[in-house]
Amino acid sequence: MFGRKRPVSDFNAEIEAHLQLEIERLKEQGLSEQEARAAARRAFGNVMHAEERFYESGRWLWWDHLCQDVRFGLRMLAKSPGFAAVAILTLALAIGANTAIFSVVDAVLLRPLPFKDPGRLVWATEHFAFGPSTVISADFPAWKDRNQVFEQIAAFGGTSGANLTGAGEPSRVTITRVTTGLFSMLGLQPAAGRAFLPAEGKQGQDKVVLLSETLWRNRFGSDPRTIGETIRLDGAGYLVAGVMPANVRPQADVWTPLALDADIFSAHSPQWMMLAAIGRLKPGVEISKAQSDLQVLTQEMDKEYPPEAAQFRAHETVEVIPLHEMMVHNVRSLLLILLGTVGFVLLIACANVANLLLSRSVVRGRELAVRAALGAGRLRLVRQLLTEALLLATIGGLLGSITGLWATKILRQLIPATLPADVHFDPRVFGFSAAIIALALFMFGLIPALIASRTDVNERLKEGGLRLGASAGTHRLRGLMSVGEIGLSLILLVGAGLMVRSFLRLTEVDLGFDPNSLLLATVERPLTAAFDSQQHSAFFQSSLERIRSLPGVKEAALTQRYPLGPPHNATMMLRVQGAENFRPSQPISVTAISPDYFHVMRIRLLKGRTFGDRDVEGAQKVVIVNESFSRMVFGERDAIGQHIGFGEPSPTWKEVVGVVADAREDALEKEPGPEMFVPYLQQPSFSMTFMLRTESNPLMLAGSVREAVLSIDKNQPLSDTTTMEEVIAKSVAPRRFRMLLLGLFALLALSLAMIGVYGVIAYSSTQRTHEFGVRIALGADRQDILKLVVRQGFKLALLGVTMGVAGALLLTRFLSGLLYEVSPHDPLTFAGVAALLMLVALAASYIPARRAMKLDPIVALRYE
Amino acid sequence: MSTREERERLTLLQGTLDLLILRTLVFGPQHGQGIARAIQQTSEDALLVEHGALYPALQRLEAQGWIDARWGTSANNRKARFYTLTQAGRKQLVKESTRWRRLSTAIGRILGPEAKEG
Repeated sequence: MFGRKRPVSDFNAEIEAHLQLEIERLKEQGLSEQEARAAARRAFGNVMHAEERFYESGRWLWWDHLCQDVRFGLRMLAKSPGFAAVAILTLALAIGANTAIFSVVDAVLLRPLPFKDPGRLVWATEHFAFGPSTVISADFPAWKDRNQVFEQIAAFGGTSGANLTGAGEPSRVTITRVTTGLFSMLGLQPAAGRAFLPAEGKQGQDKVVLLSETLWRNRFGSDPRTIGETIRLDGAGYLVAGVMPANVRPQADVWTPLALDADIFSAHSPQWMMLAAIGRLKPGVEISKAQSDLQVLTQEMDKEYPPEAAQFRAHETVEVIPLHEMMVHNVRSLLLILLGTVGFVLLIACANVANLLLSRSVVRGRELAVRAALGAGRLRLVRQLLTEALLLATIGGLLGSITGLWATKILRQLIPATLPADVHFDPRVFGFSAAIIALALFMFGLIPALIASRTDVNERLKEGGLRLGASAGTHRLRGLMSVGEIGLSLILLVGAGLMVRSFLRLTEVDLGFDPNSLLLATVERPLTAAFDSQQHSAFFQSSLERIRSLPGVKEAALTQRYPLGPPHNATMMLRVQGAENFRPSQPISVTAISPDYFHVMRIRLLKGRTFGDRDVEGAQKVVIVNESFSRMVFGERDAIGQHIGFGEPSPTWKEVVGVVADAREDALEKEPGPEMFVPYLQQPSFSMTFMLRTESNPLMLAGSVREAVLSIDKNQPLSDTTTMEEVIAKSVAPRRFRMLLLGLFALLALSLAMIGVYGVIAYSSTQRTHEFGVRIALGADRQDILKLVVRQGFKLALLGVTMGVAGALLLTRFLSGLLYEVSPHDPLTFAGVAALLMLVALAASYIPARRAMKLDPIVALRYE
Repeated sequence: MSTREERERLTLLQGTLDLLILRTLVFGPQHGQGIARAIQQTSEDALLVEHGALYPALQRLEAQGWIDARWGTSANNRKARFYTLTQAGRKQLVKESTRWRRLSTAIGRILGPEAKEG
């Protein structure tokens, strides 16, 4: 039953043999050669028919038909390359966009985490009434030793920098400290050497280190002899135990073990560490059970803390969520919005190609009618038309999938850095692409094919000419499709418009400082056991002097933390002299600065004075606060001369000497919060950033700053040099990227919809050529013809815009998390986009309308 | 492309023609033309087989595995495709002939009286 066993030629030879045998027999009976041949043929019947029947009995007939259809389809496409190019390009763009977004969705949301048995991994954290969500190090031993729900629980934290010295130039590396069981719990194996031993989680044995594969390669040339060597981090020696592969999370250059018997794990320690905890649930344990178990343990711990801690522990709660959810929750909604967006683009593209195919099938009405008249069944016609659609879908789909996968390189930045995932081609992405191609084929292929094949042969052939076969139904369908296209693209444009408005709002934000020509160079001193603050201050002071005198530097200052820079610790422990019961409602950041910081940054001094040369160690402790602080703490009262203390239960009082204007510190979109500034000579810091106001391009000075620092301390690297403009650009980069992405898709949708409207109007005005001719001949004004055609486009646009506005009102609320100071129902955006779409739709119908207007009635009337 | 009606007519003929072909091959291998001639002669020219119709039937029987085909040389030294009855074909022949006999007896009984008169 599979395939034909005999070739056609063999069958033909048999029939030929048959005829010869018969002729010879007849000749024996006395017939002439000619008579015998005729008689043999007569007796045989229709030779062709036998051959044909033999042919059709072949099992691969459908394959032959398919080949025919494909060949024919390719010929038809080649005959109208413009049509084919538009259709294929449209599909490729839409399918490519879908594949690209889906492959990111797949990598981020669908694929399980690349850890051992990821389904049971959970993220556990404590929430406090104020401040960040974290696990206080003193609570962790209780969680680890007394819980009933985890097979294993591990923690990490204290990500910081250290100066790696020894071989070559000193460099800055990031260190993350992990409990010894973390990597094995995640199922992560070292690429070389060994992982941490359980015994190394104790003080005295914790001077071991794991290197990242990247650091091992770049710094040590992947030399296996590095393992077992000792490296120096901030001057202290660490034994290199092994190398971890690149996909390890939490990311760092080096990892060191957390010694669980260290002071920070005691409730009575003067300081704690902020940890993150990951656990593996015992089989069958519910997440809610784990959460209540940890909550109970944490409340039991309350008793162990000193009374001063009662305030901050007052409202703590524990939350346990799946690890995967924790890692992706920032991008989930964005990815789903993008998936919806490209889905819309695909719908529009399909409607467009369906429109194109429909107008073609109408033009080809005569051809189809002739085929039907010659005996082609309806199924055969549908199959022929479907094959053409299939060709378009396949070529467009393949092209789209390839470009889509290529485009994922750009989209990779949507993947959160904490997620060890990368975009790659997997069966799911392939399946998704195939599925949307099939969907597209069904939508733009089957419907037009069914409509076109519903041919009344007689009617078609009678009608003749170009006026063939545009049934009212077909035309209504086409109109409806362009209405849908306009509606969908309006929704996307509104979405993009809202993003653009947000972005503009953001760039107009008053920063509170001048970001132009500012070079930032951060220096982190080794955080060694013997923290000599005087020595650090001296280093920074002489470096600042040296840098100030560099040619090209106008002014320079020091700060512990710069605006929009890395997050910074803040304090909740604020005391105000004369208002002992005052409790701050939010954390207050404290920044150590050099006296001229405000001047260099161009942050306005509102009241009092800035720091001066008098404000040194040993003198009266002073502090400058910002406007928000003054309003929150002192209200209408004058802040100058007040005394405040912070950071300790019984603080030394500091006098408020100045009030400065607010500046955006955490993020452009975040309102400035309360801040305090102290002179760095009174509160030294081991990590400071040089802020340089330069005469020309700031980055040109980076080299001389590095040399200036090295000339003070030859072991001191710069950890980061950048400009303020770069910092700002970086802080808005994700928003900018999202805006461009949505904007791109919306523009794509708009142009597709316009092609659709143009197609419908142009086609229908061609259909009405005869009618227009009559109208003009009967004395209609040419302007009337123009109006007639444009009105049709106007109707479509109005209907589409109405539908789109309704849809957008329903859908834009999903965007609200991505907007900044713009309502999801922003009337300006809605009105602007609606007007734009009406205008473009009218323009698209104006071109065919002008053509109709210029008709020569004589030609038009003959036009049949 | 053949229409449905034609196909229906063919299926009606099919059983009969198949039976006749199988019966003819009992006497040994034969080529298409020979089969046609044999049917015509043994039925004393009562049955006129359109030679062309023979081949789809042969094709079908071959596909069923009831006959085998091989190219060979005819009595007058011509190349021809010879058909042989297979074991399965023999069984099919017995089954079909029994069925046919029963059918014709049954039809004969119904038509009996009139047939004598005619």
